[in-house]
Amino acid sequence: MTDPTTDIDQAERIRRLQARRAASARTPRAETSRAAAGSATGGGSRSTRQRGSARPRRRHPAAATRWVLGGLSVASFFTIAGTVAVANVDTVGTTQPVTPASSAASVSTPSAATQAPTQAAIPAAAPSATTKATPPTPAAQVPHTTTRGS
Amino acid sequence: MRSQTWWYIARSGGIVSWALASLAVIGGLQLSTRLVRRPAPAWMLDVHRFLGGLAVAFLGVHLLGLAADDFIGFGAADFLVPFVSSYKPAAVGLGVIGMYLLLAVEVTSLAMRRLPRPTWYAVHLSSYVIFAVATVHGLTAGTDRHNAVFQWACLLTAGIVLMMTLVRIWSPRRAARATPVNGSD
Repeated sequence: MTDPTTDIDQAERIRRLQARRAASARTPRAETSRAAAGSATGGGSRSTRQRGSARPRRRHPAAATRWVLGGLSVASFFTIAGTVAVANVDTVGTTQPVTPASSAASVSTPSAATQAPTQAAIPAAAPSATTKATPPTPAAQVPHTTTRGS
Repeated sequence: MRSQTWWYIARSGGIVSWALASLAVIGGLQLSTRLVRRPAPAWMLDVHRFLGGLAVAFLGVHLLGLAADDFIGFGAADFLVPFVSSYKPAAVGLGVIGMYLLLAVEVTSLAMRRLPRPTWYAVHLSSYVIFAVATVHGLTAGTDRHNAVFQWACLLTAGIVLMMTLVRIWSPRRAARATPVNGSD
């Protein structure tokens, strides 16, 4: 046998739950129209004000971390590129012992004449990490050398 | 611009893209295994997605550097067709395959809500292949393959991914998740 008071309580609870759901479904729309009309009364919380904007957007949970990660990635990119560039200049400097003094500029814009000692210093039969690519090298081009291979 | 600058950009972009993709894989494994309890799942998911997007962006930088570099002379076929490159065809071909898989994972993740979940999940599982292929590509085709720092980074990352994958496979949460939740009525 069921207790009638229990049924009443349950019906009351369901009614209250439905009313609460209906109210929460109405709230954002009402706040949006209020914000659009410029009748913000003040005293609302920050989240209420954000919800009241014309186009509510979900805030990314890791918004700050995104900025940090993006910055770290770009910094890593330039650090690695700079490191290999600097080390390559050093490598070129050490692998060109017989280059004339005027070849300092040839590091940046090498010619076929200054390239010969560099290629002679690198054994063609045993390609090491200091050579970028062995095969399709036109004679007028310079082999890219790396940083810490040797 | 110096003749070798594009080559430095390509190398650096490739390394950063590999690192970001590896971190995205580790983040995804952390999401599914909850091996570390501290980061909230929503935060981790956001970071995981962002890392995947960044990896794709730096993959673009890698490809841009290779395309602009006039020494190695890559053409469209070298970028798009695996194993046809004249320069280390196997190693470069693995990179091409990894590129396609990474793009597929990113596109299906962006369109996740419009796709059936099994389809998205099947494509997403290829992230393991991406990690393996990209690591082998870096260790075989990359100029920095003899760099001790890069080698140790590959070893460490592969160890972490392997360990988390084993935890993922043997995790009891998998069976619990597969159990359908029925309503009481």
